[in-house]
Amino acid sequence: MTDTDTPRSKHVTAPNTSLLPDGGTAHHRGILSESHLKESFPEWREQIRHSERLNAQSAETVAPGSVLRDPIASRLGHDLYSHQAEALDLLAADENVVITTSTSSGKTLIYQLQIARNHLASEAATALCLFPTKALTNDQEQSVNDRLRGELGLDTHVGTYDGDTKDERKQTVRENANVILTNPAGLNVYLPRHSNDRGWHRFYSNLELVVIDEAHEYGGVMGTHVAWILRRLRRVLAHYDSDPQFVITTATIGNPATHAATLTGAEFSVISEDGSPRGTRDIVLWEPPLNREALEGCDDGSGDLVEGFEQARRSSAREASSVTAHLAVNGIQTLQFTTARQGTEIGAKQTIEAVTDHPRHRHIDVEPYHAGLGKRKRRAVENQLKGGDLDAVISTNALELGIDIGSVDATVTDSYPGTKQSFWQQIGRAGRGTSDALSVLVGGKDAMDAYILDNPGYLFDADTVEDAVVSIDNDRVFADHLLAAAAERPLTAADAPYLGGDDRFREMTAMWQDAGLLEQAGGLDAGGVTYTGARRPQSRISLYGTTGTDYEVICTNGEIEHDPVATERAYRDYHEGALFLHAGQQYEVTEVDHSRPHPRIQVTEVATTRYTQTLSTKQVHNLEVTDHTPLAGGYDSYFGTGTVRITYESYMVRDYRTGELIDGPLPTETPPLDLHTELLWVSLPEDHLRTTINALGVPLLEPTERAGDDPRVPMEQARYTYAGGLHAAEHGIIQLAPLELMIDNHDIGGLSTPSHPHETIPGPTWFVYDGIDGGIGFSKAIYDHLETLAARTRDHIADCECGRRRGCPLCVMSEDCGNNNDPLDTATGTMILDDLVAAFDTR
Amino acid sequence: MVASLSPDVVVATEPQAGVVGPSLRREFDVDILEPGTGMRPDVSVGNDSGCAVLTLPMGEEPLAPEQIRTQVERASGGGGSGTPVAAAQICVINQTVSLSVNPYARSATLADVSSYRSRIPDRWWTASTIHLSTALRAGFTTTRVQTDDGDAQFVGIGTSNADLGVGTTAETAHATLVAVYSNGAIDVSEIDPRQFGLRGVPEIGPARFETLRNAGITTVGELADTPLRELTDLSGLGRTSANTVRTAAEARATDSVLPTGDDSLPNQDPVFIDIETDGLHPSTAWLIGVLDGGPEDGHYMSFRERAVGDGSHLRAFLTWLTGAATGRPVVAWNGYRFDFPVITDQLRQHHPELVERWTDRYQFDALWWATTKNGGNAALPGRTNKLEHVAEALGWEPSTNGIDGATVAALYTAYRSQVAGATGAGTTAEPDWDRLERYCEDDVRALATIYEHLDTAARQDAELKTPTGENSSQGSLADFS
Repeated sequence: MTDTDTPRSKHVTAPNTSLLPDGGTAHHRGILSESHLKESFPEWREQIRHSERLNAQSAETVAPGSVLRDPIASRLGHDLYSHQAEALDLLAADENVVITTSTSSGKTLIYQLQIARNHLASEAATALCLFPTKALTNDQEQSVNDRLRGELGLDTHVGTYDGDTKDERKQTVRENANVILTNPAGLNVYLPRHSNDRGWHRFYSNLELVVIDEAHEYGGVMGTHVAWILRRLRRVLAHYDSDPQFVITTATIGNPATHAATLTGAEFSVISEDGSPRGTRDIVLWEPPLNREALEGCDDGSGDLVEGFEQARRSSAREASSVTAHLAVNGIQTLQFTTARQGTEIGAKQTIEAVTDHPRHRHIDVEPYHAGLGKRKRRAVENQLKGGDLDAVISTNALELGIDIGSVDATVTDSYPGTKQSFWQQIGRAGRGTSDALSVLVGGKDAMDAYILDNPGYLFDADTVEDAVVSIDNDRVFADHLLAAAAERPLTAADAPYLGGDDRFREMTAMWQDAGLLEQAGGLDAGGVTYTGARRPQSRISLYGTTGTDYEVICTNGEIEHDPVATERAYRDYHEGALFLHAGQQYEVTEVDHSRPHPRIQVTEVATTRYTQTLSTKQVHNLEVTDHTPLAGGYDSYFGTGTVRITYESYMVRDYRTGELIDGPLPTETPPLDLHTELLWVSLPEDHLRTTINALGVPLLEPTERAGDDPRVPMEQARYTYAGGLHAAEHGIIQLAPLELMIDNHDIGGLSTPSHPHETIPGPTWFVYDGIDGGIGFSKAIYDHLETLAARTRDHIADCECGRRRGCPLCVMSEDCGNNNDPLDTATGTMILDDLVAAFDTR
Repeated sequence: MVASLSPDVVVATEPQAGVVGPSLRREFDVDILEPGTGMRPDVSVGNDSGCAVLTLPMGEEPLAPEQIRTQVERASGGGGSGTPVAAAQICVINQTVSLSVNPYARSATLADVSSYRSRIPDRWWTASTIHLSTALRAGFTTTRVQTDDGDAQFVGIGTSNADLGVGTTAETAHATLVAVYSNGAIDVSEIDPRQFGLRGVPEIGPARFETLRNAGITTVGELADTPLRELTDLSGLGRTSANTVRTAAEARATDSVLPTGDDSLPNQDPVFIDIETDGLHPSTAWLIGVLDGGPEDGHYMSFRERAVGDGSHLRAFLTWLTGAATGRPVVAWNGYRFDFPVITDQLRQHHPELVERWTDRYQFDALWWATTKNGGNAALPGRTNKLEHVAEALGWEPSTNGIDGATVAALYTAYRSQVAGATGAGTTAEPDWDRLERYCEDDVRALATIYEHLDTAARQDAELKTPTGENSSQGSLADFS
């Protein structure tokens, strides 16, 4: 399967374009030429680090008649792109396909045509389409209807079926629909009705096609649940003797076949050769200027390091607003994506401020956009954007996914959005079709951004696409879905292939029988095992966590549309007093009730320039090894399970403009949290501290004043310095892991320690664990990619432009650090990673 | 609730076990046990069940049978009837045996069984001792747990802290009723406190309930004893309705069937039937249980389908009816709304030619006769009008454990799905048909029990039975004679 996992990219890169050529053919490329910027960009300080031109590409097309039969071929008013034709051929040959071609390359047409084909073969044929959001589902219902009923003139019945659908409508859809559109959370609760509703019975019995759109969205916790929901679906379908084909679409990921297979349990062929046309696209990487003197001035060893950096570098949000303003005043309609702490409203205001500073200043129309806006307001902005009535829109990633806004001339991305697919999705908003497009990435304040500005090849190299990470190994999640499955149909031995494989299935079934939630007298091999627990277990599965408990977020002085919060995150990020941003609005947590059956977090809307940072202590115990990679010279990496006890004991309040410490540490008053989770650990030789310190060519670090108050930080200089190196290596790897893997590194935690009692750990070690109970495959993926990640992290830390021993947010400092980023030493960290890389090389 | 169920013993469970005693003791004369408290075991002996209930005290000391014997003697009025503890059925309640579920280890284990075992005297470690734990959730019964010297079964009567995933709701459990039958069978059921006492009596909604309570009427017994005039004033009901309410309350308070109308029951000997289906909107009646005769000595027969969807048992049932029970009424509980039309429907599908023969039969719905016909003919005891509740109030005991109509339907549906999904012959395993048939038999015998009482009530002359304030029908009768 892995050999099909390398998507071939069609991006053609022009070499040696450190700056855009002056007077480019397209107007808007000229706007960012050096001469133009010098002349008109306020405070021009040569911020452009790199620019890349992707040349136009013409379409590769195929006449519809060579793939499709009439009447579809003749009614389809245009040719097919080569990838669409290829996918349709594979579908005709009974394959499942996963399509990873670029944004707006016509992926949806593939499954629409397959639905049409199936319908012509049998009018009873049905299809189930799953989308990650309700908004997308509604967009797609329109699109499917237009295609099938409008363009192709078929008598198909298409219906959305989700939480917003009225009951009468639901009944009509169940009884008549050929195509049902919903989301995985909906499917989770609708599935059990297969047995007592005629409509569902008909629908499942005739199911020929299952479509999973935007499947890269299903990673981590959500992905784990979706994978089980799809297995439950397949198991129910097997009962109806229906064995539908799957069409999965995804943004470009490194492992499409594997990802599709993990999600569904079926085998897939990959379509990655993109036949759609595109215009010329210029991508500019822009670095906010750093005031080196200011940075050095505050690096006296005793001060607060985060604070110093914040003051020395211009904020990426402000810088992005300046770029957006520059483009807008030059008549280029621009969509700016912001991930910064400040909201889109502030972004819009700053853009207007930036226009007044601009030499060519003229009136521009700017609007913010985020999911928290009312539906009507959002539609209005979408339409104004489409109609060219706005010069710029400052948006959260709400506009990243499929919402139809036509296309803009340029995009500006404030801070790397975390994954390549998300980045490409954003820039895909500019210049749809064959028109030329311009995109700017303004580097944010984090190790990933810094790495990308230093290594722009990462963005444009097709070999470095991240793998989507999804795992079905979490037994707690499995246990819940097994109950749901039993409630859908009694369990029998024949279900094992769908439900975890024979051993796992039998053991978990036996567990629930012993616990009295499955019929104790039943047998998998005889008669089946019936569910006997409380009604509708599906309704209690939370797709946002693994423990079945999640926190509802309630705003006491306004509105908030917040997904439920998993326990693990509630403890860390939503303690009383915590400040957080959501959909462009800042909130403060006023009360957390852990004890209720449905725990809740009460928040109020606030508007401050502060943020909070939570400090924690951690202990790792009950380690059990499940995999081991012996390396040369007494180095080892291990993967296994263990218990991580985290106490989020206090938090700091800082100013986000300056990093200045305003208050703290303040107590959080949250109880300790035990995570039974998956983790990896790197075990170093027993005498590694001594050999490293002996070989260190620079002075030892002096412990900071605050370290003296922290009993966990060694105060002896050599130990302090070495601990800083371990800590730096641990942070660096976690922070750069998303370069390789589509994981949210907020859901990963780390712990470095000079010693640990476990038998596999003779000397210093560091742990990387999944911050979600039971694990979600993140640390396993890091374990599998450790060699690449260690090498990349080593280079990045050694080369960071901060050049500081204690590092900066662009290399080893992390805002999620529970230890106030102390100690950290990039010099020792680099040595430790050097040794690890060497141990991999010579193994 | 306590009044209407009149339990032998109340066991306080978490959360807030500590508040149960003080609040109930004031109002009721009932033993309230709290396991795990105090230095000595709490002991209570049921009034007429001969069943001793005792709780393990704090600590780890083994129980001392001698000490308990004296306590039992004291508790049962000091009768000193030899060795009561040895003779009685014993229920031991503990609060430590609990379930531990670890999905990561894929195991569910009972914790603390061995230390529990060490506290139980050897001679009580027999099959006739019932082990109850307040740390296991109500409704949960373990499979038999092996120990070195025999095995035991633990019955949950409290709440559990085990990680049960999505299999339980977070809602606080209602009260749990544990019925120990003389044959050793145990039935554990959840009780909704809102359905209890006065609130269970027809016509008494929340508003009247409040009014009555404010007037000091809090139990069905007190309601039955309330003079008619006072009741009409308080409730705003007319005389006739108030009378009905009182009779209903009396039936409940005295666990008896009281006549309220003039209609008589059919003259001929009834044939009792009960059907098992696949749910409340059935698409099959795969089992028809028939009882020919009375509750104890009647002859029970099952007509069960031979294969899924096969209707041959319907024909067999009608053949038997026609041949062996000509002219006798077919009686079912709630039959007009369920059993009879379902059978008609089934016949229409499988044997249309037999439909007429069936619909021409004398069909009789005992529930309808009691509650609806001409305004109702009998007041029923029991906390609801469900067959089992009424029959239990009249002293009927089931022979099957832990099963009800919905479970039977679910088991059948499961079996049917399996048959429908099976590709090759011989791969499906069948449910325990015997057990399901026994359940059905229990129900027809329950029906026969009720019918007997209805018959007795109907034979009293309802005309002569206008209550005048006495609390027994005998008294009323006397007033008129």
